[in-house]
Amino acid sequence: MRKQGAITLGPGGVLYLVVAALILAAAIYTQANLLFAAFGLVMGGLVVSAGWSLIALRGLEVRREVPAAGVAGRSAVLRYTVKNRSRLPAFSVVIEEVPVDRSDGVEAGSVVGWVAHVGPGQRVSVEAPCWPMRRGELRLAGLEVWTAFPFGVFRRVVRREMAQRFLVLPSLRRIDRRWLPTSPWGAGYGTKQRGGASDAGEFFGLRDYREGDPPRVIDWKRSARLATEAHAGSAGQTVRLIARELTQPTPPRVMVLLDLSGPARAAEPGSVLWGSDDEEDAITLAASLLDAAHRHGFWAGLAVVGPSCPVFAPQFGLPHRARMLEALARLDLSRRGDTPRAGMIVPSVVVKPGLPTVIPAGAPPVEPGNVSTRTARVLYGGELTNLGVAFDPDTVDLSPDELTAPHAAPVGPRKAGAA
Amino acid sequence: MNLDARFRLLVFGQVLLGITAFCMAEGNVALLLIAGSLGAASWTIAEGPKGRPLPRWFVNLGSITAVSFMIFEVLIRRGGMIVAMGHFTMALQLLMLYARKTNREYSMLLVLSLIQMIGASVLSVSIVYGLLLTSYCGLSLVTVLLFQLKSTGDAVHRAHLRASGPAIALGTATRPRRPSVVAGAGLRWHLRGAWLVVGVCSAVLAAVIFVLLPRSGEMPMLGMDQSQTTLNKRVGFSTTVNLNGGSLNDGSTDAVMNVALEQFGEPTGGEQRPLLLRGVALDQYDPRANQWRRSQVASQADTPFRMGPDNRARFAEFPSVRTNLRATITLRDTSSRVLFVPGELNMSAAAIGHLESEHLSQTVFSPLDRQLGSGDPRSAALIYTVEIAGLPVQGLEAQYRRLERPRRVGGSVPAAAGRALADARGERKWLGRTLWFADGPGDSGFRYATPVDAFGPGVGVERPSRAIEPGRPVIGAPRIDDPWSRRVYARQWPVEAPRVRALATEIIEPHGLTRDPSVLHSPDDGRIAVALADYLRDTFVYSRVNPRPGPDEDPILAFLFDHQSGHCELFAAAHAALCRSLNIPARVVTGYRASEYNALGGYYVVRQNHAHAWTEVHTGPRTGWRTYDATPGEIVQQQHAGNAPGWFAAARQLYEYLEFSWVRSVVAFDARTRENVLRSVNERFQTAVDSEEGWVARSWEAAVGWLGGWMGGWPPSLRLQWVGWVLVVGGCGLLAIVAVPMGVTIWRRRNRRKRLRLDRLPAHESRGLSRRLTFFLELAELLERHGYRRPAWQSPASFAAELAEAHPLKFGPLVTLTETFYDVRFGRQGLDPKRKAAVAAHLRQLEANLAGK
Repeated sequence: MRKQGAITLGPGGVLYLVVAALILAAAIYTQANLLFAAFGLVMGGLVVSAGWSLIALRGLEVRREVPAAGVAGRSAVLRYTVKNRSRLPAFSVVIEEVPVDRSDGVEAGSVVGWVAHVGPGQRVSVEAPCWPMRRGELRLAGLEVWTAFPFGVFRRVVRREMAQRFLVLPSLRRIDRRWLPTSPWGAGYGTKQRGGASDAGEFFGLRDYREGDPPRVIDWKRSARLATEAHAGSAGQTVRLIARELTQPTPPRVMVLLDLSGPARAAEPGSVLWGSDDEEDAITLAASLLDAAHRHGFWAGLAVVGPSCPVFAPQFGLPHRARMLEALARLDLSRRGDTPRAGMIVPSVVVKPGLPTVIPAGAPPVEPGNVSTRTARVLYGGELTNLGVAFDPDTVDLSPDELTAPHAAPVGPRKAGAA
Repeated sequence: MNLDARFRLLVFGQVLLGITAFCMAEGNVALLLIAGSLGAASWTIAEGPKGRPLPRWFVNLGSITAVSFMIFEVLIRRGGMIVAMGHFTMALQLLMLYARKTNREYSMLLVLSLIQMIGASVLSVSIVYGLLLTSYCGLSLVTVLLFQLKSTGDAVHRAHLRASGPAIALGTATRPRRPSVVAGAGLRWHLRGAWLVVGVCSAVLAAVIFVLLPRSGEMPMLGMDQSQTTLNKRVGFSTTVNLNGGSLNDGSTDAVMNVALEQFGEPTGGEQRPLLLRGVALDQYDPRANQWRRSQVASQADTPFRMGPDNRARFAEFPSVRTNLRATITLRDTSSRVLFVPGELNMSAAAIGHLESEHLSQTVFSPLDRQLGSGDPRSAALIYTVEIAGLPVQGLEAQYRRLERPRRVGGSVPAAAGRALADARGERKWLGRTLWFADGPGDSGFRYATPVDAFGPGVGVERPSRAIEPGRPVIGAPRIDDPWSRRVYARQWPVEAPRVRALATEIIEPHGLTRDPSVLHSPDDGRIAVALADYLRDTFVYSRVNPRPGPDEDPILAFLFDHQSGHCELFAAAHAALCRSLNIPARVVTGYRASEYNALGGYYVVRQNHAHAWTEVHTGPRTGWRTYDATPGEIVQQQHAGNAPGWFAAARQLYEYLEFSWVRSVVAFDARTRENVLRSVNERFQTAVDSEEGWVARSWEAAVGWLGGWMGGWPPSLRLQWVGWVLVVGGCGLLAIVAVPMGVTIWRRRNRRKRLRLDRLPAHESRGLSRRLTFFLELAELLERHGYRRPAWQSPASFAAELAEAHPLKFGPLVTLTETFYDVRFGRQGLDPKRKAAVAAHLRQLEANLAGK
């Protein structure tokens, strides 16, 4: 951590100097002694202010704690811990993030925290919200700690290099509930897949024992009761064995295929990460679908055609969702590559950038990245506003704890393969 | 700490203080009541939780109206600029108090308030205003500190709003809340400390800058506003006496000057020894205007005198120095350039030996009528000392006449002055501050009188035949020997002289006196003047009402022959008229009659309503001009009398003394005083450096000597013989005042920490804990008083539990208090007011239980 100090004219400096000049002019013109005294006070204040600026911020330590991750468009809170090791109190300390080059990371606007007072030997924590508007890594280069106490005439600035970064996930939108039941990947929501008699699963019903069923599925009580009743009616009949039929619930599975197979193009000169707005909308839609799938208890998987990205087989769980969102956040649209195991991917929904286009009759089906999309529902990033609504920011339930730690390398699926 | 609420309250107080100060400086009580009430009401109407601020359009309309009113006040009503500006800023402030306020409006309110204080600084020199200014500075320091905190918080909030703008537009974020005040413990104390440090350091630096800043010495504003605000209300001293009728009101009680008298090396004075402060001698009566004024002949005798190196201008030498009267006068109203000279009844009039002042570079003295004036530009206050003869002085007039002798002067005429002379020669004309001239008595061309700064210490040159060319040496012989002729000076009485003479003769005849009007002097002139004054004093009635004379009626004759009642100006004018009718030279003098004496400071307090008029009569070549007062003295004394003795009078004297000190030390500080202070510091420093003794001793001696020099100017009653003792005792006392409470506090804190076993904790932790856990010590003391002492081996919890088990009802509060102790001591919990109240209640309950109530 390297320090750089400077004293500049503060926000109220010009006004203060103007007032001082006004008093001096009035004193010279009127020669009133009280005005000379008042001017002396103002100048005394100026000198004291300069002296205060020289000793301000001495012994002040600032530590920054970044969140595990943020979400584009939502506030992420940076926490600063300020410790005052000097014998003098520090007043009105402003902690400001040094802006980074836009091409080098996510822009988050000005990130400013304010501590009104830190006594000698005290430690206080302050939060500074930031609103990153794009996915990717938000890089924090350093801090600018300044104070203009006591009069705002001079501003004592100390710059400290403190490189840190955290990941900003794509913007997440809530998929409209009215739309959800009609989606093909949501048709099976709440049903159970009927399975054969087996020794695992939940009770589904009773049936006659079939050859090949494991003996443990035989419901001996019912078989015996049935045999007793049959014996009472007609003697010498064959004993009828009843088997318990068990079943296993099969949650609906969603495999999202993000089709970004178009030519690589950067949104802005110098940008190496982001694509066009359409592509970014598509990524947002894909991330929102994955998030919605998780919310509704679906298994969700992700495959991306175009940029390099690992394929995530459908799974359920917060870490899985976090990994998928992280992969989308780090998606580098300037680099294109092959989709691994494309032939094995069966997407239930394909997300494409732009708006729906009319495909001429008889045109050969376009299979992005050799992935078969015949059974999939195709959604377009341009429909984002129709399909989903923004989250109510007050009810955001995406805890950073659900996400992996920052600086972690992109995590691929634990088990590759299609559903 | 609610910064916002505190800041608003402070701004509100500061604005009200500014309004109060300006109204007091202007002396406008009605405005103070109106503006103060409106301002105070704004707190309820606009600032409260249900407050409704004025709409913006109304504020703008009001601002335009205020501007219009200011223009009206300056251009139409011809009011003072400062006053108009003060009214304008006041109106704007009131509008803003009722408007919705952001930081911009708050800044404007503070700046407007400051402008108002600046205006008030120009208008007033009173100590009340000085106190208000000091309070204002202290208050504004707190306000600015809080404003800095508040504005920084607001700036951070604005930055948050800017940063969250896109997200809010997208609908993914809500408007961020205002950042809460994150502060460590003790913000209030540390802020007070910062206020104190900044305030003290600023004050010290302000004192240095105040002394070091150069002064030009000219105060143009005094010529504008102060005179306008004061002349309108003043009934008091005037350089002319107008007898056109009308009654006098009570007049202002504003102090005009303070006069400290010294005789035989001791301070003297008192209410039993009234003093006449001579201002202007009016030797010419204009019967058409019914006005007494100073004649042109007397004005021509005005002679500029440059103060010498000892800051003195000498006019005469008196043989008996010990009997001389030394009067140190602090003139607080310098609206006229007249320097007042003290005198007493029946004594020589204005027998001035010398004038001494650090504030004057030159003075103007007229040997003819002994009028003394300031030759410098006006200043806020003026301190000077005059020495006057305590006994009749023989040959005084001759000494003064020597001042009138022609003197040879030389020098170069500045270019501008030369041109002015050449262009305007022959006309009586005022040519500004640099040069003036007047036509002479008519016998020998022109007489030019020039101020010192144009020609040096000369009086005038007579060059009737040659034009004066710029840059050319001017050598001449000014002649002011007998142009005004003592045969006619102050002798003629123009209105119905025979009738007046008959009355005068009728008055003096019972005393066995006669006067031949054809002779210049008579040995009985003094007795005649006394007889005439006694007659007026005993026969006529003093009244403030002066009936307006008829169209062709002279007010003095009307006074003498008709109504025989009037105020002091009529008495003085009538006395002069009676004397003149007998060919005895007499003139009317205006000034003040000082009888209010401040025993604390040892000086007379002279107020506007102490203005008075009396006469000076020339009683003969040996005795010269004598002072007589024909006005009934008892009535005037009653009118001028201060308050009856008592605590109020004592308080008023103390206030007077403080104001007197304020004026002497602050208001009267000017360019020359500054030079003297700096020179004094330099000399003392040089003395200390050159001394052979040790550094400490040198500094000590220098400080004592310097302060002693200053003490010489202090009131005699407060003067001490050895200043060093004052320094030692005062310093020790000050040290004791500061050190003893500090030591006691430190000892108490340390003891408290030890008893609470907090002495091993870091200082900042133990400090806070010991303060919060004071209640536990009180609890222990309470229990010990009733015989319950906790053993050292037992914890507070088990001790409380044991007692509570034995007497559950009695020691119930003890358990709660012990729990609170643990919460605070180990749980790091604070004591909020609610909890403090609960602790106090439990302690009271426990005490009651232990007492068996």
